[in-house]
Amino acid sequence: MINYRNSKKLGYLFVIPLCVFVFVFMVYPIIYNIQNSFHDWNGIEVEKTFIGLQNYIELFRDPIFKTVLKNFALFAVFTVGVQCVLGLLIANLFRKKFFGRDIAKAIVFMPAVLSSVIIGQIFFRIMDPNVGYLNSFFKAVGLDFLAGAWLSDPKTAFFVIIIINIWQWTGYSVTLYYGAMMGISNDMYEAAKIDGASGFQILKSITIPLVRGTTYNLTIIGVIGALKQYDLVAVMTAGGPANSTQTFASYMYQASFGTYRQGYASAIAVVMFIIAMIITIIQLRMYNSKTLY
Amino acid sequence: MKKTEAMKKIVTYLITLLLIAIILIPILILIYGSLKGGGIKNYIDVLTNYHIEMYFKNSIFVTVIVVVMVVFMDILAGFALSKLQFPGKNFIYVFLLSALLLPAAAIMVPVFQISSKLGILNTYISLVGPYVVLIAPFNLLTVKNGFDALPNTVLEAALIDGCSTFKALWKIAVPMCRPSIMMAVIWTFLSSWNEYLFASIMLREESMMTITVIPTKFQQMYGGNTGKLFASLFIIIIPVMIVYFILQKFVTSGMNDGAVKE
Repeated sequence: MINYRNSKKLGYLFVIPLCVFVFVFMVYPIIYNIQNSFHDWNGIEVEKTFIGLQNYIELFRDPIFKTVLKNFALFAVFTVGVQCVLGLLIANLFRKKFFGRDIAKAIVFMPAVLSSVIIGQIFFRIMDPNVGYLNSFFKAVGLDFLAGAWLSDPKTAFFVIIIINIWQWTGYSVTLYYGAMMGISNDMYEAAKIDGASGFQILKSITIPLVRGTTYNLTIIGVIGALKQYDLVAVMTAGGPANSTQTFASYMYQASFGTYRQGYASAIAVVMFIIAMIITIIQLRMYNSKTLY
Repeated sequence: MKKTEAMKKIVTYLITLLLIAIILIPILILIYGSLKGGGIKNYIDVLTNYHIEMYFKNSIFVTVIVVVMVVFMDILAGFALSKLQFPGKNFIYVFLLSALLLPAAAIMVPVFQISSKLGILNTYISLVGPYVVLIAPFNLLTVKNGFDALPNTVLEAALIDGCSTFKALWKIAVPMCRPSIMMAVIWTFLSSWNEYLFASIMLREESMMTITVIPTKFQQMYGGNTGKLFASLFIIIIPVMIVYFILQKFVTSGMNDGAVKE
């Protein structure tokens, strides 16, 4: 640490610009939402009516909000689970150099840099029940039973969104796992091989324990991602059919700009903050428990 | 022994090919579909009749402002948090990082109200605030990690030679931490370029809209004309794909330092 004459003054001077932004666009909005969530307000008129906890009571009785919570859990469990398992296996495959590996790695990561909105649009068209290529493909290869209106069925629509998210973000997991695996000393693998360990045993007993820091990071990123999920839902289903694909963000958008219930939208935002805070606390606990390095 | 090695290789290649196919097939369908109906004419039509270049310009304008602001503030804050000593530093660091967990939608209503009160709705200024808060924290991690890796002795030597702290930052620390700063530039660029929620709320006038918002408009405009819709989608993603493959090394190389390190 450098300690010289004007270190203190400069230190504050350098962090102030960013802190100001975070205050205005994070701290103030949090306070605003908490205050607003106790009011009934359409967002246009000046007058707000204080209604106490009414918004929260309604929220926890709202069947659509139950769907929102269920979708959050489904999204988090499936995307984190699948992306971690696939990411780990694919990264393990890429551990050894082979012809074309680096290009393959680059291609697998590519969807992560594309806009989810555009990806959603592409898949929306591909999955069109009448003119989409997916159903034509299924019919052409004789898998007619797979051809269906997946996005307009409330039972399957949200899983389609989950699968597209997995398509987009598995490469991200691969890249992080690959980087972590590159940090593992080769001697360890050599020693295990000499002892006659199989590929699976090496993966289970050496690689997985040593990359658990990455697994943990990906889990946090994934759960937060599930909480934030908006873009794919917005362009593919807009929360439908029959509100089956509503997420926190899409339902909040609907309450704000669809039904003009700002107080209700703010109550949803507050629940979102609380969940984000719980995740942060768990995260800090885990860092402090020093099981990671 | 030889045989199993050969088998392993074949399996590796088969799985790799399958992976590449899964990623590329939707893109290939997009290209194939974009030629349906009018062939290359679809592209000419989208490029000439629908002013797609205008939306590109808007996106570039917003993105350049955001990249400059985010990276500049991240460099200042990252340097202070890494190399300078002042009371409350750790608290400030945790405070800034807590914005990492901030869901964009949760600040949507208040930020919209702020912009509405300030009368800056439908201007690009209204996007800068939320974008900075949503994008800067992640890149702060990257930039700070870069400075952390820089030995103090280098900076101390410069200071002893009479260099001011500010000069030491810009003339020595920044050039030496180019890879992590480059990575912050690229990720800020991508996050700003791909942002949808705020762009769709704040910009109401069509001539102001950014490129990510515009496909939903095309969707309404072209309706059943898949060919032109696909052509417009491909035109939108191709620049990002090209930039990605050129800068690929920078995009992913430092990702582990940024994400894994505490």
